[in-house]
Amino acid sequence: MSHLAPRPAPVAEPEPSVDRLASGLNIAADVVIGLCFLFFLIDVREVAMLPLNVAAWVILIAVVTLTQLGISRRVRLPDGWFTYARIAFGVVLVLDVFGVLGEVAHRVTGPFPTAAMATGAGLVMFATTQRGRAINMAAAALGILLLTDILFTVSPAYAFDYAPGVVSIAIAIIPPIIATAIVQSFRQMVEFQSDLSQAKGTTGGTGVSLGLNASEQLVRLDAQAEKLLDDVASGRTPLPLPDAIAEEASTIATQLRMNLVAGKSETWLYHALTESSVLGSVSTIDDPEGLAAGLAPDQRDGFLTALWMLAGDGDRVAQSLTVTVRRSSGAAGQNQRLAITLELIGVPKRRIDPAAWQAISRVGRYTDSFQAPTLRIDVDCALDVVADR
Amino acid sequence: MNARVAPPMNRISKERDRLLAAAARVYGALMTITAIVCFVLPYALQPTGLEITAVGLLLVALIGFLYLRVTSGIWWIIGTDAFAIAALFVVGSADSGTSNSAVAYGLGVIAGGSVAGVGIMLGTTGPRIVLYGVSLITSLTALVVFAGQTAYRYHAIAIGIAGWVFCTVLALWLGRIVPQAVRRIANMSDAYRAERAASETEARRRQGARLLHDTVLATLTLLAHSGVGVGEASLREQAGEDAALLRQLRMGFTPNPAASGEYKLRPVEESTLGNTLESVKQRFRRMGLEVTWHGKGQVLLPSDTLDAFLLALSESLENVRRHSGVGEAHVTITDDDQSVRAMVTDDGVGFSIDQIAPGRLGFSESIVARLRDVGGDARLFSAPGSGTTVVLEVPK
Repeated sequence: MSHLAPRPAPVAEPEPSVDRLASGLNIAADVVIGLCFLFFLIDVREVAMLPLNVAAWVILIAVVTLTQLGISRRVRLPDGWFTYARIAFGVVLVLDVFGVLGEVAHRVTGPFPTAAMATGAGLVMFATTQRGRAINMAAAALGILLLTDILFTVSPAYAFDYAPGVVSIAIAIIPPIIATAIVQSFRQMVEFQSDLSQAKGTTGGTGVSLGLNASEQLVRLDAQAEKLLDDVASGRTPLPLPDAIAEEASTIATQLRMNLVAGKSETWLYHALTESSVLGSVSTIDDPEGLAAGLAPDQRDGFLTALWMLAGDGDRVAQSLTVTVRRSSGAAGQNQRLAITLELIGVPKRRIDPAAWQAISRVGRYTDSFQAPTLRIDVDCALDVVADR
Repeated sequence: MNARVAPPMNRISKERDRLLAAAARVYGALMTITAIVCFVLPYALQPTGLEITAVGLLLVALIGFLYLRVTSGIWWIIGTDAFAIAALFVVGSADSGTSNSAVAYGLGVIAGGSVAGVGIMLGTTGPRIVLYGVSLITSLTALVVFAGQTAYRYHAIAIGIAGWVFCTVLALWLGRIVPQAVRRIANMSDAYRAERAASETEARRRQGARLLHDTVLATLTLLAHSGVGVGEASLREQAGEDAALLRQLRMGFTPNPAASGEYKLRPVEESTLGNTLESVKQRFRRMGLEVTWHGKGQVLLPSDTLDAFLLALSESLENVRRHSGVGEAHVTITDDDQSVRAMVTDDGVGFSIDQIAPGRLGFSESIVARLRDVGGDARLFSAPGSGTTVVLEVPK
């Protein structure tokens, strides 16, 4: 079963991206930086070499300001800014650690390298543009460096006074970790919702169509044929044809013939599932007569919503999903009915959202049974006689 | 027909709560671990019974965070909140006399971390906001009272307040952008539907071009046998004809070759312009440009000339669509004994011809060169603010 990479949105309005998270995360980062600055002010009289700390803070604030202006597109930052920023953060760390170093050993509670702590919040600003791994690695490196610093500088005599150091490390590394977690969750959500939205594109129309894959294949084959013929016509390809190109012509002709002759139409359900990047690889459809085409658009919409919520919702995707569509042996003279059976493996029943049941009730009356590991749902579905069949 | 259903409120709020839960889980768990580390440091909390109680309460809160999911009920959230606040009170009230840095920082981390972490789940909607307020006031008041007597009060209180501000910013921001994003994605299914319909129509049109594909297939089959047994010149000529037909198909025309099925087709001598103009119009309408035709519709042209003429016409209209800034173009077709002319005009922004580098807009390359190949020509007239006119001319 083939499935495609997520298709780009066909509209001028772009798909919502993690960029939209950036301004909120920037504000959150500023809060943490503000806290660190407050710590700096509280202990400002106790540091050994104030100019070093001041320099560290100046560099940090400059980098943060530039980055945030860059994110809001008011300043154009050079390519590879993240690398420069990390280098700058490293400089901040060194200056700041040496700035406070002299005093720490003699005192119980610090002062601590506050600008160095704040570089963690500085990493938050990059969470939407850089890969999560890069951010987490930088945060881990920061944590290790701060830990080393604190282990070396805090006097062993005051063992319980590791607490301020522990909290400093936490303030440094928790913000970037949480930022990458949020960005990752947001990406997953966008991917899932886009997939569903794309699947719902199938619910209009007559219910039977060629589908995007076959349509795109035909366009591609035509283009390949055109190029090959063009090359022959212009003399770019020598005659008689080299074997490789003759082979290519044969392949194009065969595929083109199959595509044209078969003209194979499949139901909306088939297209929705096979084209999905979330459910495409786990789903099977058993609908030899293409009966799913008989569902009305609202029933289709409800069915797809239910499928996605049942099988793909949350952190895990179902291991397998089977949809069986059969004619229902109803009493004579009644409207035609369908018996649709859903079998899901790997979906604990308690994890199912009530909204999924609500959606499936738009398709028809249903009954469900759970026999580990399979959740089975039977839907008795009335076909509207005026539906376009 | 298109049952466009806006995503129901509960689906939107579920996605929002899922993100809030993820944020609260990570933040709450990490901060609670930090507080636990503070209290298990040697001599941090005395006596040992107090230490065990405080750490025990925090461990329960930690489990509460680790298993926090969007499906967790309100009681799960309240429970986690209660254990965190209880830890705050147990530590704060018992040790206020002999407090050290571990106690003060630990209190700050519980208030601004564990309790505020729960606040991420509470800060956005209706009745939960009451709980948010209660947690905020209780935890910060307790922090000020208990830690306020220690030497580290500024640090501790700053951590508590900053933690709450941090969590509130996250909660408000996620509560704002997640519903926006979900709605926007849901609206895109209309666009996907349109795209699907368009590609379906396109595929049907191509499948419908049976005769054309028959000749293309015949030629491809010959080529698959390396073209043995057919004169080289005629094979090249046939390939050129077929490539031209496919190109026309791609440009949105539906060319109909005169015969098919056998190899040596008669070259497509003449085609009428009329039946293709309508398809050009339809194609550009789909892309948002309304094309109005004037003048003669029935013009007979040799196929290579027709090919060049239609390509040049399409290119001109494409330029109007892209650069003119208006949604309407007029095409006037006239002919005389020797030539056929098309005048493509628009009322768009226009441009200064002097300032356009030669070859810009693909004009000389894709239009002029193509027409000159078949003995025709193109001319361009424009000035800023007064629209653009392109005159295309080909010999009959």
